[in-house]
Amino acid sequence: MIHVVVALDCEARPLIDRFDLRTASIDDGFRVHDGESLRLIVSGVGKVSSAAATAYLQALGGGGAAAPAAWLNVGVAGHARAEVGVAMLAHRIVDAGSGRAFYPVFTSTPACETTSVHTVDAPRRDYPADAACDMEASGFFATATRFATAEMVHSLKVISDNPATPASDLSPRRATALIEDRLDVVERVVADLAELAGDARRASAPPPGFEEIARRFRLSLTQRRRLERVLRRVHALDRGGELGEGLIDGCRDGAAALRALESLVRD
Amino acid sequence: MFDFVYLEEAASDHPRACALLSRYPDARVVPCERFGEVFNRRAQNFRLQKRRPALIVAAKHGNLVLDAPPGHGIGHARNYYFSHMLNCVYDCRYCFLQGMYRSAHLVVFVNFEDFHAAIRERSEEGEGDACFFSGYDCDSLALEPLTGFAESFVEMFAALPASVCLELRTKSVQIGRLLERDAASNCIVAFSLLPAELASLEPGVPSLSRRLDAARRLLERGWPVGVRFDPLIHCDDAERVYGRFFDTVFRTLPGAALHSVSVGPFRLPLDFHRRMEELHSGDALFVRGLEERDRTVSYRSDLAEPLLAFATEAILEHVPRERLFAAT
Repeated sequence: MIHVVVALDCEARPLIDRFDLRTASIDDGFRVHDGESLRLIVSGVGKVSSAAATAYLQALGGGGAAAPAAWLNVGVAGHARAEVGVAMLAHRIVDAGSGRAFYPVFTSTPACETTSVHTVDAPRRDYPADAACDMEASGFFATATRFATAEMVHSLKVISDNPATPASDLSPRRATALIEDRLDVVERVVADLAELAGDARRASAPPPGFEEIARRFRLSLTQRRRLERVLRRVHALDRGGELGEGLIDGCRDGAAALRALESLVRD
Repeated sequence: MFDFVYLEEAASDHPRACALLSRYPDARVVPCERFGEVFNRRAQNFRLQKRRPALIVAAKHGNLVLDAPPGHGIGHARNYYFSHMLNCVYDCRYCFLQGMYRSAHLVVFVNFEDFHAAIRERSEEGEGDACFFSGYDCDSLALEPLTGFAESFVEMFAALPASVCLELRTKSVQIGRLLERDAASNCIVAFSLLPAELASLEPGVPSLSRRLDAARRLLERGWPVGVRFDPLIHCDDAERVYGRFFDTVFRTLPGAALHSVSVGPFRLPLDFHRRMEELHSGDALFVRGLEERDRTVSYRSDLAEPLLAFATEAILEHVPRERLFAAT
């Protein structure tokens, strides 16, 4: 599942159309749109809103250890030197308020140019040197990396203004058009993230037999972790076949079942 | 080779950093205040990063030379280690670095002159001979064309008393710069070796025959050469596999000509093992025959001791006892 966080409806519209998303909720403080493998939330402007929306999306489900999500922030941004319409992935995000820096990690050649992004608290007329300027990325990234590793969290900015084309000229319709024009890049980034999320999902999928045994005994969270670990070991040793041979049939509770499984690994 | 180079502020004006950057004109250079902001962050996945690691260019401040862990020595009275790099270009399945670091990025510390000064200072402070190990947190030679590490440090050690030694430990065959200069009698080039049957555990590492050839060429040029059979990895028919392996090694490298040989079992600190087992979920290497003792994970003694005894005996057929060391 790819979780996409955008600030404004006008930025979300092209994504909703391209990825064929349906409106899932509008009444709980955020507007959420759902698709087969992508879920989008409209956060509102600012890093606090972006952080809150990111946490809200995580709480909605679709993340968690069983199905780790990748995260993408999409939006328009200003830039001192880049031309309007250029798509850029953040390779460094600096929260202008705190000075704290974050570093998204690329595990393949990026789908487009990359840049530093400075997240500011209020619109500014000046631009930071050689960096994009937005109002959401730091809040998004700091929150999303609580739920996923930095390889699976990225921020994609389409340049909407620069000293020659000031932000005061930017209308919602223009923002929509800018995102729409770079949907090819958005799709490539989403595809890269989907591949990573798929790999992560396969790596963290519960081992065969886990659900069945966990259902059979009432296990605590710690015991579930132990079960997952010992089952991975059982399968690593190619002894999964012995699980069906009555190994845990006589066990009265989860602790006894875990002991039986752990003895299988020790033998 | 690198799409991204992170450049630490303190290193940004260093000539060695500038030289490194000039090797990668197409890389995207990302400034950072301290390398730990990138390297030590939580929420990183070592395996995912290993697909395309970045280079971090930094300067090391403080703790430049440390006491070597107990059991890490080749007969010197004093043992130290230092790391001009963190992490390795190779991806050996059994390597503890993936349990130690969250990030797979390669860190190069460019302030060699500060390491030189710290080494000189430590070499003068105690009694007896001393060895400085350079390949504990990285491969000493694998990135030699990029870093010029050996070129710089061999030159420095060559000017120190003969009782102060440097060990360059490697799985690479990057010996060109060593062959270009006279051998330094206090600089030991130590090759880590594993049987060819276990090469799948060392993706990207030059073949055993290429490493043996590199070691032979250095020996012929008068360099002190060591071999490190560490870790010994259990496998099916281990004694036959290792028996043939030792024959191959000592047929190419006469045991009597070697500076030192060390041998040690597969072992990992408990925390590292836990992290590595998670990273390689389902890999029998991290399960089969292992047990925990004193927060260390290693083979059960009924597996470890016979293989270690076999290896020791086989090595001693070729190597004088005083040049064989146990790595623990």
